[in-house]
Amino acid sequence: MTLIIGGVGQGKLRYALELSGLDASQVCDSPEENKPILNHLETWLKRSEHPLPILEDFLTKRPDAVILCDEVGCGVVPMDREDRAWRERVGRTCCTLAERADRVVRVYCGIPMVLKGE
Amino acid sequence: MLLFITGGSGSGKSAYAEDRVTASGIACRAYIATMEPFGAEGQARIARHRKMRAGKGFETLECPRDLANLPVPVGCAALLEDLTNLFANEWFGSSQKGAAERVLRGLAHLRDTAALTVVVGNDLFADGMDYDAETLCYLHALADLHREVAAMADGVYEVVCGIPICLRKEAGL
Repeated sequence: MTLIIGGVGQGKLRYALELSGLDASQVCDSPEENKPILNHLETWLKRSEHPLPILEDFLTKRPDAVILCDEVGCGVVPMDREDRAWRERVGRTCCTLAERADRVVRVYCGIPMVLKGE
Repeated sequence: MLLFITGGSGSGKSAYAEDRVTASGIACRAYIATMEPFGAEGQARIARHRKMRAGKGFETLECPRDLANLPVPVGCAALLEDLTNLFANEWFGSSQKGAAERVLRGLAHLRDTAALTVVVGNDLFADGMDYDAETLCYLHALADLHREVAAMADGVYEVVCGIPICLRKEAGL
């Protein structure tokens, strides 16, 4: 599995499509859709409070998946309790995925920086 | 030796900071806790960090402000968590005037007393949101402080998804 993170609009999806040679029809927005590229993990995590078993299941079916997630932890602590919990959940989920990933890449201004793997 | 470790919320920066202390081999370990335990969420956060530290030989020293006068064991490995809490306590709880200077004096005291000082910072500066003037003033002061601490640090790391990115490498411990 490859984990690709970065800020909004940094070119993560473009990089994932180039890397995998897949097209937009192979991109999904939730692990239940079960496609090779899982985009916007952070949005799915808004409605999934216990994400790890579902992601485990997805990765068992798709060990070579590419997972994309916006970095959302680099701002002022949100006023709303649920927003704070969501932000924390995105961060912790990414830590867990990064530990398991073969590759972790951060895309910044369209430029990929490999944090783990080849 | 001063190490400065920053990252976003939930990035794994605390775990990495603890690893750096335990990897130093220094047996005397002080955890300098800056957070005032307000509310259930604050309590839960403190409990989570205590659990993470359990069994790693840290003595916890509570220090919400006035770090410069905290008695710290000479030659210990000190982990300060975190810079933003300490600064907020000085800024909102004491006075804005001189808040950064008080924090920096405290860090110099730690650096000069401990053999290894690890300071955890917080990346709060990239959400692209607009805030009221008071919050922006605080954010700018906090950002200035982060730059000052990075400038005085021997090693600087950003932690992303639990992975440290080296921004400045310290010379060997």
